Amino acid sequence: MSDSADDLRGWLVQRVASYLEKDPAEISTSVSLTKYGLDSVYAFVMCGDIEDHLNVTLEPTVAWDYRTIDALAEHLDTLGGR
Amino acid sequence: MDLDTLLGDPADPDTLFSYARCAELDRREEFPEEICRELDRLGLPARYVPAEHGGTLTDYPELLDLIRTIARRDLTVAVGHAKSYLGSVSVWVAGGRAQAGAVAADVIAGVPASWGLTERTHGSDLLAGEVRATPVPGGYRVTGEKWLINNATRGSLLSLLARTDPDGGPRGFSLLLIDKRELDGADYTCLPKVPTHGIRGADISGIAFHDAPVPESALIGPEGGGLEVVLKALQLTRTICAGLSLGAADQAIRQAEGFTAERRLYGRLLSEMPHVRRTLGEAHAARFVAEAVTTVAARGIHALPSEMSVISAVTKAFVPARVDELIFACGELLGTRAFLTEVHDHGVFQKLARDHRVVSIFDGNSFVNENALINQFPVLARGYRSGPADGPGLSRLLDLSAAVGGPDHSGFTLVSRGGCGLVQGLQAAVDGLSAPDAERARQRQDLGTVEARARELLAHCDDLHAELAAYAPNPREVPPEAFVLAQRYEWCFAGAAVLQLWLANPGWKDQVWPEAALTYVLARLGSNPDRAIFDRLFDETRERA
Repeated sequence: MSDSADDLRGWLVQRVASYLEKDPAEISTSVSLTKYGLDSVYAFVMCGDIEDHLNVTLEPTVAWDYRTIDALAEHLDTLGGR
Repeated sequence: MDLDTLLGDPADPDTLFSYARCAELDRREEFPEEICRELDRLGLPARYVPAEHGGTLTDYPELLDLIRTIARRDLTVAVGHAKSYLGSVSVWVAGGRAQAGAVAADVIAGVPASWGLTERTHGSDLLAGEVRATPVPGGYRVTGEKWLINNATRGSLLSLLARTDPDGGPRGFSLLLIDKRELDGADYTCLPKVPTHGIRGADISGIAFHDAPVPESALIGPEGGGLEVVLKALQLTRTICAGLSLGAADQAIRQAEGFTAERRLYGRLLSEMPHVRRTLGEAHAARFVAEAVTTVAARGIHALPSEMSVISAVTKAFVPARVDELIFACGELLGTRAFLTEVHDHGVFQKLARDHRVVSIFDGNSFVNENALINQFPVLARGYRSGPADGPGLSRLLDLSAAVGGPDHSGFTLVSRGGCGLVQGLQAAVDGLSAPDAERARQRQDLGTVEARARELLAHCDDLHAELAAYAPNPREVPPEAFVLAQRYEWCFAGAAVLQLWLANPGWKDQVWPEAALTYVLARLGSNPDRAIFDRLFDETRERA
């Protein structure tokens, strides 16, 4: 995984921790986000935050298709050849 | 010739689709089979099918008018017949061409279709659904029960939401087009009709599958795409529901007006009493506001499909609720007449009051729709700062003389990235009221109190969006306060719809209409506007009658 994917992963951990009001150290990047109680609809909120952060346009369902932070970071890294 | 004329005089008991017959069917809890066949004969099913698949559906505002026309006579018939649209709409949204062609042919031929989403113990919680479609070579095996399904027994076609991944989740469900005619009798059981408070004649039942074989070609959209397709299709059906409500509102007002114009008490007509005039004037304002919201939604399907996740949620949460209130207010004017079952057009009022209760419940109740709005607060707050995302689309939507173009059933999305152009256009619309150019100056002659009301609406809208911007979505539970914000949003949307439709269509309605409509909206947003405008609106409707 590239450096930017690592950065993204770190940023996503921070975001997810803040949604859940948890310590980032408690968030595993390989666990499905729904397991943490982030429901199907909350994925839309996260999608909006990612769009703002990366200045990209994503399908609102991106976190339905990439369910862990690892999968999401990898997918976002492949977008637009960044 | 228009549909209402073709259907004949509903007050004549010899007419097939009459108040008398609908009342009798209601008493017997019997499905209006013959009336639906008549609607088939008149070509209504083809109106549910997009032209690209061989039907005659090119214009959603027109379809809404047809639904309203039927609902005005009888909601049970409208709910029972229009179900074929709900049963097939997922195919228009996500099905392949061949699949859509086959479904279109069936629907046009009058084959009833239904939509199997809810289950006995899960209601609106679609992701808890237990009906399983287990992948096997060449297709699926379906097991489990769907319950409280309109047309589950009558329908030959059923768009079924089923769990294709045992772990579930938003990609764990798929939509399957079940054709009962291709199944064996042992593959499924239709469940008994469920007795209901209203729409007593409708086929509200269920269906249980017993390891039923379904071919792979039955998939509507991709495997795992079920929830997404359903949420997009609901944007259309939630808009259609507003047509049912408007039809009920028409009949409720008609009954209240007819009675109060003839009934003499204490030496004068009821319609001469100040309280009666005000109540009826307010009912007209309420219906006008509901119409404005519905018009925006129906034209929005064509002009701003990517914003329909917001527009349809507002419409479904707002219009049926306002019409329930309107029916209650008209019922008070009718007094005991609202309660009798055999007189006054065969008790049509008490029937519509019972029947209409279901409209705010099905296809997502207010909580479900307001939840959908709450989830979009971030984009709504952001969008408000930047104005309409698609200005030309909004202009096309608002200009009632402009053709909207055929509907693009693939244009829907689960989150409106651009927010809501209508609400985001309010600032510019209000600014335009005081623009110095000549045309505006001429218009200002007729503004009356509209400008003051519009500024007040904008102030409410500004305050609301400041609160929306400060709202931090909570991942685990939605606080009750968020629903209050969503309701205020609905009222702001409604006010924005009235004002901008009126401004975009000079000569459409006398200024008393937006004045009364904005008064109705502002009163509910916490202002205390002068309600005497409802009396003037009542007089205006009398003069036109």
